[in-house]
Amino acid sequence: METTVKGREELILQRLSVYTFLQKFYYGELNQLPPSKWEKLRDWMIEEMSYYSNENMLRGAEILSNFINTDLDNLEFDFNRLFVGPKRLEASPYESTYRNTDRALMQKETLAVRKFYETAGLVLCKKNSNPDDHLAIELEFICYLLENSLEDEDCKILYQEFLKKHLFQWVEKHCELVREKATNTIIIGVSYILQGLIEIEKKQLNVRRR
Amino acid sequence: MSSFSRRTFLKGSATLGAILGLGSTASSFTKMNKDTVHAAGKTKQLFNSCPRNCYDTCSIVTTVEDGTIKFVTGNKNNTYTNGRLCVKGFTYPNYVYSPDRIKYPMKQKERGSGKWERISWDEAYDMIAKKILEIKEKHGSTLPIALNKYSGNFNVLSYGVEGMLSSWGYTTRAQGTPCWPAGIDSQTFDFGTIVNSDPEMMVKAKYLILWGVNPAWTAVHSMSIIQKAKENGTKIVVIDPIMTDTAAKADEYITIKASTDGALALGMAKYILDHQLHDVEWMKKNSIGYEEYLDYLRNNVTLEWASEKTGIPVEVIERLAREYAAAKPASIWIGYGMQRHTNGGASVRSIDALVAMTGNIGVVGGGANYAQLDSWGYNYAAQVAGTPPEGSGGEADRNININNFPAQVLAINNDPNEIPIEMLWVACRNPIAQDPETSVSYKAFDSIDFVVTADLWFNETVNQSDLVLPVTSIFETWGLHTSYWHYWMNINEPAIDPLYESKCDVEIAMGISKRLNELQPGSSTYPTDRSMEEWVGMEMSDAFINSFGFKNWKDILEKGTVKVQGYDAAWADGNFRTPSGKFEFLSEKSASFGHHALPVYMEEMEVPGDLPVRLLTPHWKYGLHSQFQNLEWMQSVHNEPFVEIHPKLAKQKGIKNGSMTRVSNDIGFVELKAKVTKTVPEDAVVIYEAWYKDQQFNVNFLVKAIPADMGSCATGQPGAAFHDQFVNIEKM
Repeated sequence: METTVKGREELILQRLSVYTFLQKFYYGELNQLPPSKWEKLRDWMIEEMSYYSNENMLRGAEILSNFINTDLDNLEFDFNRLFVGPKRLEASPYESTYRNTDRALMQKETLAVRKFYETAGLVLCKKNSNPDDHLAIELEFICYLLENSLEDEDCKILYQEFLKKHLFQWVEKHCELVREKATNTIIIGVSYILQGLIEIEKKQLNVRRR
Repeated sequence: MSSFSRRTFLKGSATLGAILGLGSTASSFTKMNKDTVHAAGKTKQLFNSCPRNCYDTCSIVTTVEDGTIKFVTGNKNNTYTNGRLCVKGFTYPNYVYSPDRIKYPMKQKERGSGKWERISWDEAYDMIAKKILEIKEKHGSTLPIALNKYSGNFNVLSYGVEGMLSSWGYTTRAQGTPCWPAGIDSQTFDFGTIVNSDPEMMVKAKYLILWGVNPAWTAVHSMSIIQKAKENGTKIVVIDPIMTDTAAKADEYITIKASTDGALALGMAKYILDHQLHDVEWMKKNSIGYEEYLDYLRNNVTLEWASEKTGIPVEVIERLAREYAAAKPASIWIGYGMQRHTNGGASVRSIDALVAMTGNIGVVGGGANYAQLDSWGYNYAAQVAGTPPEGSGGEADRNININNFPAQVLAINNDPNEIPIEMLWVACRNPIAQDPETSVSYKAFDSIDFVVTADLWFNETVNQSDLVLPVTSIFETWGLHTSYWHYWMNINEPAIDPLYESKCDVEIAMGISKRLNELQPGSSTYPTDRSMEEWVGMEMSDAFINSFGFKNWKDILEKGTVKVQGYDAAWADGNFRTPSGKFEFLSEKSASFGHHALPVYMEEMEVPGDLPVRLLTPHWKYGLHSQFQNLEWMQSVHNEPFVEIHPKLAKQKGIKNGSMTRVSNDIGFVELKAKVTKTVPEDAVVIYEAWYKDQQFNVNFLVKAIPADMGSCATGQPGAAFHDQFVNIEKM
């Protein structure tokens, strides 16, 4: 009995660290990371991903670990071109752009995400300035729910529902788009890791549902 | 999944934490409190106003729920807007919530490289302020800083951009206006300034001529007034080289050869004179120089000549003249299209004279209606707030022609005796898309050291900038807007919070001023501590507040809009603002600017032998200059430029509907699909001017910076002869 609880806790914490990495990446916080830190991150990544038997995650870690200096030098430029602007976003990080027929933000798709946050008692600090359905924010929400799911059954349910209703609905499409547009090894690697993680989550939830 | 021990995870997690600095970043979330829950469900309506360079300047009602825009519609309190928006106005929610808006201040590693780095506003302010101080240090003045700003946002607060530059010192300015200056000068010579009758009074006209204007596309709210007049029995006549949608809805459409409008007006006047249908009493009482004008008609104008010039049969000119003179009142709407010629100003003067000789001035339902600025009762507080700091180098701003900006920048930067232009500020404009001679634009940008563009959208101008600053849409800030056509003033209140990190132009001006003064006290006079609500409150003049019967400016918030009174008929009081105080058929002022004193015919530009096809580049129905066509909603309707060509010319060239064509002249070319249509003249092609997002197309590669005849008197610079352009067209 004790081992099951402990096992679950470890599983959650393990996953949390991958989500945290992805969330930081999508906030753009890794764009300025010096090469020495990226080297450490590479080692961490290889070790972490080896715990998963998901092909995409392993591939992602492998691709990412082959980065060269040009990838690092251009990371911020490439990141902005895909996810920030000022030009038309090549791989929008907003859920609604994949699900709204007009490719518009802040429509019912975004507000449905907001509703989830509110159910968890949360609201964005920059509500209405930053669209609620930015991937980094959705990933941060997942981290929050994961962290609390150990003690709070509601959070666990929300976590599963949020994955099913939102991340599962668009993230894989996003990852494919990223690979279509990106040339940067780091960004391509991350897209595989993210996709792999979503695949693991999907598999797990389906199993549970059965 | 492999099993692993807790120890392993802790190790992994600690490593990640050490690498990334876990826990150091603030969360994006906060806990909800009761207020936020309560506010979330509430729906409210706010007043906005369309700030685009358009006749209609609509008052908008915006429905907002939980801080997001649900929909927009026209304000019924404004009887011109009349509860409806146009196809462009209705796209605003799609505009505000486009994922492709510029979100943050960003700097480009190398212009055109696409290597953009996100920076904070403080970094942006610092970069800009240091550049300004460096220029000042090097040249002893801020004259190397140029401004290219115009009509992308006619919010009165946008004039804060001019104020911002003045607050740094004397600078170089793109002076003038591309759209309408020739006509402004004409009416300045004839009437003293531009004043049109309230367009809502068009419904009172018995006869209405729409001359070189296409309201069905560019002033749809006037179209409903025209429609109402038509239902009342008013005859609607459209005169245009192109059979526009407006022409299609008229009682009569008269095809005219481009640039010969003056000949038609003079021919009509000749007929009216010959048949004594003119209003001698009015002319005697209200004008000077009418005898000289009538003599000119007698001695120099025949209907046969007018017919030959215009391509309109004599009998049609006769009938048009007779009907126009007989109907009282009769109104003419003089469009901007017809004055974009090397003789455009002269043509408008001929039409003014025609209207005056029939006594249709100062009467409700009459008029020579071109434009007005009387309703712009502003203090221009955001502009005058900036004055050159004490001890500024130079004596005044250096003005260069907005209609030939790139060439003039190059001329300055290639001349060692001139103070070079080293920094350019672009606001409310996309000059690379809109200026003539696109290839020269690129060279001009290349010759400038540092370019800053403030915009909502990435475009070619942003691509050629070092720094881009995200600006707010109308829904995210305050504003006060008026039209140059109708007489309503609209308030614009913030309906939602600014998206991302966008700021309005005045906030940017304040931010730079603050940084400048930190680096070098006294280097900017622009205020730094005013809220946008305070700024907008300073804009409406006391005279206007009183005339509206308001206690203070905020009273406009009740209905969102208020109408300036007294313009049912322009010039009803007979007090013309000319030197003589009368309508001037003979204008010494006109002569002093190198034109003829009388409204005589000026020959149209000669068609070059090697470029026999006229290129017309009018406005497009789904966009306004470079605006709107970039939106998802517009793109889903239409997203491909095309050239319209008459079947006769198409056959000659072997061009079929849908054929790819190459349209070229001595300065450039464009390649696009043909649309074969009888709506365009046989000797001309039509390409609508527009900016298509992420496409190479730009019609201005073909358009030369040819000056129109007039504009220098009232606007400082002549207009641009956008419709005197000539090309070849071939099937590809």
